[in-house]
Amino acid sequence: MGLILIGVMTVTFVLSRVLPGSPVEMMLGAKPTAEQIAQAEEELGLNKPLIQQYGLFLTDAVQGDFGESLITGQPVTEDVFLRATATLELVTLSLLLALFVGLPLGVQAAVKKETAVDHGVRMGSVAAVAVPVFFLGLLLQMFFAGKLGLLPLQGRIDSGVLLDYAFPRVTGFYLIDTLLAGEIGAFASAVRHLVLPVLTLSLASMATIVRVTRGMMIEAMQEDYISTVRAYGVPQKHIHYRYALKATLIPLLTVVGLTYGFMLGGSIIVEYVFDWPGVGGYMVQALLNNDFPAVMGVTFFIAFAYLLINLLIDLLYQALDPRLRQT
Amino acid sequence: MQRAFQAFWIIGTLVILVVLGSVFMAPDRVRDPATAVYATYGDIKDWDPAEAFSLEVMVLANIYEPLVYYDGRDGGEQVLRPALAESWSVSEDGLVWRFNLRAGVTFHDGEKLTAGAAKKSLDRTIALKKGGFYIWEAVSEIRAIDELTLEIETSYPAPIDLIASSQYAAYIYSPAAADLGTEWFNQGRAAGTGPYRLRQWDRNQQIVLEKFEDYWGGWEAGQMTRVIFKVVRESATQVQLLLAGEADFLSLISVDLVSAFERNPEIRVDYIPSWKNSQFLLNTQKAPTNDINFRKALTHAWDYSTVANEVYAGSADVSRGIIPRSLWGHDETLEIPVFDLEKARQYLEASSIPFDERKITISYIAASEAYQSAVELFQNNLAQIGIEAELNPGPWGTIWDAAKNLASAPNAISMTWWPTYATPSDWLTGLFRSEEQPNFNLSYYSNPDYDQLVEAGIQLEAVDREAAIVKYQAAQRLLIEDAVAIFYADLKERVLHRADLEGVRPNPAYNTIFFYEIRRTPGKS
Repeated sequence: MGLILIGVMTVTFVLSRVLPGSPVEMMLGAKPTAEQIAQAEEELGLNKPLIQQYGLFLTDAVQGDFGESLITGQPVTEDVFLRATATLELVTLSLLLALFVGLPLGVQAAVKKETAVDHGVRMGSVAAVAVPVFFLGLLLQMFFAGKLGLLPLQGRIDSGVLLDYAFPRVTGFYLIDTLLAGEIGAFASAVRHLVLPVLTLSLASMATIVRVTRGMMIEAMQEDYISTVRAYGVPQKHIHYRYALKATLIPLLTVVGLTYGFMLGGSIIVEYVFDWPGVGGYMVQALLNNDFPAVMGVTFFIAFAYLLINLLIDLLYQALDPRLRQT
Repeated sequence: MQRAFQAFWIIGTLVILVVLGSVFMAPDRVRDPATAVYATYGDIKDWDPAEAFSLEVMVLANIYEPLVYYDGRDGGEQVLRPALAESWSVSEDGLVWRFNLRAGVTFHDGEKLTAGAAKKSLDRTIALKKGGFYIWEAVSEIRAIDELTLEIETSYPAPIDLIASSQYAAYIYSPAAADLGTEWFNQGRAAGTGPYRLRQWDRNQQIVLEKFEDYWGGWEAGQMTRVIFKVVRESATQVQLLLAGEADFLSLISVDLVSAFERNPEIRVDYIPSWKNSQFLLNTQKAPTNDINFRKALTHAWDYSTVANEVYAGSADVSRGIIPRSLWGHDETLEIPVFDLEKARQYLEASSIPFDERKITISYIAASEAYQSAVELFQNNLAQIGIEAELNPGPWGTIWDAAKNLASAPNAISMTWWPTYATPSDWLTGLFRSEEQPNFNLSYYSNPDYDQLVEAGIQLEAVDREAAIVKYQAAQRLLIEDAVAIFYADLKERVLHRADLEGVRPNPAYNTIFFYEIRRTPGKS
């Protein structure tokens, strides 16, 4: 795992330095003098040989220090923590929702194969994948915020709440932090702000989950062991959820893991539409401005999260499938 | 498994109940009429007023004050208003400036404004060498004569009153804050004398300013007591917030938006002349634009009025030279090239560039719709006279970097400029004075006569303004004769806000909205 991380960081480091453009111009404001630019390059060590820069970077990175972002002026680790927890909160809830709705739908579609239910679910999932995320986000905003005025348009929490309720950022998850502080008003505000982005983000992954579940279920239902339990007269519900669904869990886990990893960096569009201060927007801003330290920090976070998720999934495979434990 | 499934449903129902409860129970969202909300697309980076050199001014100008305000709202005449200095004077030789500070002014942290505090603030800004500190280049010493008298001595006559009115590097901050330093500021802290103090900075989310009770200007009913800068990066979201009345101002304004809003009685669209102007700098040392007739052909192939009226849709006037109409020193009599393809052809004939070498490269900031449309129109016109233009859009950092090296520099590059303080010399030196290693002189222009004229103008600015203007005008004529750039747009600031706000009168000298001047008219929205 460590090796993969070092590999990723090295490639990113080289790529970011080879690209044209220097970050200094953006960092110094509107009209820096030539002396100020030269001084900043000196301070950042940008005029040192690449290999030396890389050495310095690695020494600091190993100690968890990615330097200061050139755009925000704040330590990258702090920036990434703040942003990543916002993204994690959004992505985790979206995936839970997707699973929560997607699993039963997939099962039902498989069980009632080639009926109106199946066709409905399949059409729905095709439509959900086909609708561009930003469009869906805007539609939801227009309806729930613009027309009904029920839910907020953007942000993680109300301006007034942010100002009037003090809740320490312990975990970075507002739902947890507000509860820990006992601020129910702030908690309610955080929930309201989560509804639309979570709905938007979950829809596409929900469709994938439905389709995978359906496919695997249909396959499982044709297996001999299902015929056997059916012959024993086990009730239908038991057959579906106790015996057949189990067989779909392994491939489903793979899909969930990959989707989760992808969403961490790939929820940029939803983050933009809803002004969710997450890691996606930070990454885009860092890349556009050649903000080297931030690029490295974000890459590290995403690579690390991806690897961690894969590791967890591997462990879960073993927990779920006794056959894997024996080998 | 079935039990798990049942648990699944129970949890689901609970979640739905929590969500519904939150929707209806969350704290009231009724807007306080004394709160102004500004939807901004970027967060603040430098909180240190000595360093801030970018978008920060929008917020900082409501927290801090300079010694003197420049009022550029009434056209090109110079108007200075007292800010922290009630009055000021200059010695006959133009070298010693005396500022009489306002009595009874306190900083947000409780410190008193004294000449010593002002000196400390300016000395620190100059010594830090960050942001726009170089405007104080002429200063040799700053002295606190007594409690409220500040003296600034310069090594050559310089318009210190104008310099002190700058929106960068001229704010006076608390001496205690100066001691705490940049790190303290960058935690999201501030200590100025302005009408608003910083109440909260929640990174990437919002900045909240609150009325400073002890503000020397006093307070009356109806003024804004709280200002929220909300970070909203998406233009469509900004629009919805404005329409819903949840934001009073928006910062991302596209041309299509403006026409849609002009018909909405709840929204006002104001056009205010600014000090910003746009030009394409022509590289005078790189073939084929190193040929003066070729460059003149280019300046006649630009469709000035279409760009100003259609591309900028009324938010720009055609430039007359490099000094905009909104600033002193502008020359309305300057003769400028006009769009005339026939004339462009003639210049092209007169040039020494053979047919197969009539190709140019143009760089511009990719994110700008206006540049894009204007350049495409230009490309079209050039094709008609047999010049091929290759377009290279990119982020500013990238195209600027390439342009600073002659080998990789384009033949033309987009530029939008505004002065660091109220002087025409900012354009004349920043963009066109000879530079050994080009920084912003991306025309690679080098003309000793021009350099001399500009230098003479700078020396005269503080002692004989009229004579300085004459020098600047002569320098501008050289720029036109040498066709060093396509000067095409004096920009207007577009301000979109809720119609119930009165007193929104932006000042071109400061990229901000002065919220202290704003009132909300009850019942009108």
